[in-house]
Amino acid sequence: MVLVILRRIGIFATTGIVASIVTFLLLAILPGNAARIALGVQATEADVAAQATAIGLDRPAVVRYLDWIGHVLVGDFGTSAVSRQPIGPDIADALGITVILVLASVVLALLFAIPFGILTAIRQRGPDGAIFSSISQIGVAVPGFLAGLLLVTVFAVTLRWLPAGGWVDPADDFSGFIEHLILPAIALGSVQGAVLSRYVRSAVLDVMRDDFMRTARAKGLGTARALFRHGLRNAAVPVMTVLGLQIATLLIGAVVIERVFSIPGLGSLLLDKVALRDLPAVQGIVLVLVVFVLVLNFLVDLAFTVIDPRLRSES
Amino acid sequence: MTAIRPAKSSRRAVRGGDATLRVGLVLIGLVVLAAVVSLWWTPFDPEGVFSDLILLPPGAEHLLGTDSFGRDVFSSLLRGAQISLLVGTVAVSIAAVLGVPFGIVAGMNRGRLDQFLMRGNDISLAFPALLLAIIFGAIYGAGTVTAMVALGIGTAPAFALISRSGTRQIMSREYVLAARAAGKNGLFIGVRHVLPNISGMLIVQASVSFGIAVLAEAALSYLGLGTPPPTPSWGRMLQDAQGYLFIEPLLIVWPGIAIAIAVLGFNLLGDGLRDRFDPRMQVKR
Repeated sequence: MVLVILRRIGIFATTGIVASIVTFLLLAILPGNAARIALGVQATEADVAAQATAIGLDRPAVVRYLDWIGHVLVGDFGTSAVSRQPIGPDIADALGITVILVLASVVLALLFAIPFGILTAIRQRGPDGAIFSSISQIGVAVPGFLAGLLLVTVFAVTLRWLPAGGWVDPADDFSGFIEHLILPAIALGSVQGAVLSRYVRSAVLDVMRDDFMRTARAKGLGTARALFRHGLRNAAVPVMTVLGLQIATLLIGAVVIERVFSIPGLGSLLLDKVALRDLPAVQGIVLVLVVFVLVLNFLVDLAFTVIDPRLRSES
Repeated sequence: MTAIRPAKSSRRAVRGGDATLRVGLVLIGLVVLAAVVSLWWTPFDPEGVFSDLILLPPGAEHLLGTDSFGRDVFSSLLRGAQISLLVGTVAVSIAAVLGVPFGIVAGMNRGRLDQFLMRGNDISLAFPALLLAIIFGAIYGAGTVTAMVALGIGTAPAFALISRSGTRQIMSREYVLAARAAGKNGLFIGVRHVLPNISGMLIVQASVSFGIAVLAEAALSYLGLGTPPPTPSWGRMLQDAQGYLFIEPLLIVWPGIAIAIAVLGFNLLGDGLRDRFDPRMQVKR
């Protein structure tokens, strides 16, 4: 098992390096001459050439990549094409906010999806099962940012219970922090929870048809006990796959939600830099988002190995 | 859930599946109808600016009122259906064509090929559809084609992963072992045994992905990175409406309902088809 975990760490590191190369290719090579993009279409050839030399574009791509990675590893992430300042400090501030928002949403989503999904699977035949199923269907059909807009309309504009947007640092004012976190976390988590609950339902339904469940019930266990003793562990495997997929979706959902609630996280930073066409900054932020997804997927992978003994001897 | 009344339960399940299917088809029908009708006719021009008609409430003439440019909201909703369906169809087609063969091949060939394919998949998984679309938008400028291609590429990993995990389950079944023992080749097993047995999963995935593509298109337009003005899109209607949240909150509700109808329709269709075609659903007690 230790060997399997070590191998997964190796795979994770390799994937991270390849992802950084892909990010570099997408944002530093694919767009063409960054000097021309920075200066605009009216710049002369001489200006563009001078600018290219000034920001090091005349070097080979491999050297530029290694130079960029060096800056990433020391934490400054290179220099913004607009402000001429290192990008690292901005990214660090924004990352902390986005991590809090995403984790709060994942917890809310799981708290909703697991009981709800199991319930709709067990009660698939009953009228209440159909009602629960309809609720989760409607939940899936509402985008997070629309849920956010509606929550703002109800709880901020009409009832005035919670702020319509913005962010408070938990170290400054903890109750203010919670007040600002509630609406965006619900907007993001409820939609992900609705999506997940559908997969929990279908995984539980699949498991209930399996032979070992029939055996468990033939032994005299009730449906619920058979499900808790044998079923859920097996149902967890496909649900974890989807959770891994959902984490990336959740993170990108956070990008949009941050825009709705004016939260100064990675998403707002990314969209600001995209609007400025500050490609070196975009490159750094994209790398952080991608590595974030990889880390979370790596953790899901590890959890897989723990849950499903069959996967431990895969090599 | 007792074994005493299996026949009754299974009949009810089939009927329930059919009802889901019908509701799904009706909702999709509404969206398709809106898209087709608006090719030739809308009550008002959804692409102009009418400064004397700004923010009218719903009424007899303007059924759902007008927006901050004086455009008829109902006309914009009809026309907006075109972009949603176009983006969804193209994106899901790209995703399925890229993802399904990828996942089946990976699932059938445990070993180096599987490892290699799945690592490639892991990397593309780290670039979610919307992130790719934002990156492409930053490089190439916002546009419908950029959005469709980015969303298609970005949704493909979901198809690949679902196909692979389904394939791995099927590959350990007795009939696959029997086919192998009978000397059938990989292509035969993949097409004859694996694909039909994972098709239920794929239908559910395709329907969910269509919903995701419609949502993603709306999100991109909301962020100003989707279909450029003046072509109406539901997401940009939401963006416009957010500025007038305190004056006319209904402007958020209409495009919101349109998006929800489209997504709900495709989700229900997928569920209904699954309940109807998956034979195990019907023999189940």
